Amino acid sequence: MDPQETRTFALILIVCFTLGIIIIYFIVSIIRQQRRTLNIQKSVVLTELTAIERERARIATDLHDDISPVLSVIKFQIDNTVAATTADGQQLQAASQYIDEVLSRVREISSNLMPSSLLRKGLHVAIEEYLRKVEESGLVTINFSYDESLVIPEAYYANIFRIVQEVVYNVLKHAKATSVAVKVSQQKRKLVILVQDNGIGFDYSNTLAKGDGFGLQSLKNRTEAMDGRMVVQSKVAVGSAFLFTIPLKS
Amino acid sequence: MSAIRIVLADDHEIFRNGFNLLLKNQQEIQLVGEAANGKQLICLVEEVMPDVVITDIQMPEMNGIEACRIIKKQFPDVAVIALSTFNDDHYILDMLEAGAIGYLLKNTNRQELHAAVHSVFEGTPYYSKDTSKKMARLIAESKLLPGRRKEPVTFSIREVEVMKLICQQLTNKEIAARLKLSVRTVESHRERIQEKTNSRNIAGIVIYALKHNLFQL
Repeated sequence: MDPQETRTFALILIVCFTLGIIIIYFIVSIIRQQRRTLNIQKSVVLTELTAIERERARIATDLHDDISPVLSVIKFQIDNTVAATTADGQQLQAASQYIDEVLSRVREISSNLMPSSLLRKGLHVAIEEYLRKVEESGLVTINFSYDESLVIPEAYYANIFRIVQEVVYNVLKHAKATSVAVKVSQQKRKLVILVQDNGIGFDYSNTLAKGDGFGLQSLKNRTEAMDGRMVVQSKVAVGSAFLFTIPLKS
Repeated sequence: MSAIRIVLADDHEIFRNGFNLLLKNQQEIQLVGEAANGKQLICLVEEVMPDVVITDIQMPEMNGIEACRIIKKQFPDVAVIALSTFNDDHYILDMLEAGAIGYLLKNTNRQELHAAVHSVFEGTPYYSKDTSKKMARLIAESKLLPGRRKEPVTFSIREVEVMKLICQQLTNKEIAARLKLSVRTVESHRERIQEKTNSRNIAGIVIYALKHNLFQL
């Protein structure tokens, strides 16, 4: 190779090398940028979810504090009214019973918005009480286990509670299951939530793709907002398993 | 018979006023004071020494659970009834653990309130219809012994060994020699066993061990 060729070759090599570096630099920057955007998106989702939960808690408290006592007093007033006729008496009694019903509905709505146990007693008790209520409906038997040694950041409480609530609600609504197992445990530095049922099963990707999986999408969003992963396995006539793995930052 | 003297604590004035309606036209129960939070309630109890306290759970400054705990500590003779809009297990458990012996929901009525006040005044627990079902389940699940939550007593292997030797009438010194421990260590084991079995002396420990099959004759 004469020196002229060698120079040209070296030049081409240098140009290729430089171009290569520039391309790699751009690719890395794009990936970085995407990651950054994704992280921002995740934190936005988490912030939004937290804001929604805070709002729900406020409405629940307002219902409890402002509506319930007044309803109770109205009931006392009705009970204390002396009816002139039997018919009036019956009407008063009916009104009093309606108030009882409204009061218990207010209790239910408020508890659905934000269970007081979650704020007072934390995740374990809140999930336990929720599942007990589900079991009392008589539709399914529930097997629940919770690793006592788990330390979960409080900022995740509402989100994790909603995940369990959403999955169990979906199972009740669609799966026709007779038994559900809910297991909250720890594997290394990860929180693992497993919900399994013996229902009719469903096609996960199809449901998600068709866009009728609003609940599924919300589960996915909630999990990803905590940097977690959701895996769903389902077999027709065998049942479904929802597995959530969420890293626990130290 | 003189009237049963009660006080009421609730942070809603409208509720306190309405509550009076449940006590109209009768002489058996007399409302002798009202408080708007737990702190006020404690002062009120100290001042008027009622027979029965009826308290809401969620209140500003100090809640009903904390107030109940302090009242039962300072004035154990005063009976406490919780009066709440909540019927969640955790509220019921906390309130009963704090020493309340009655639980009513705020949609109570005159008959129920009167029955509850009379009942707790005589020292008999009273739970509203809705709550009593829950109570039955909580007791069945062993989450609750009325008035005190059941904490399972567990002993270490060493403590069981020491307990068995105590039952065999060995002295601390003999137990120490047998288990190759210092007398001081055996003494502290014995103290802990006494505490855990809630016994005042060795006889108490022996009775406990026999009852719970930790030692057979």
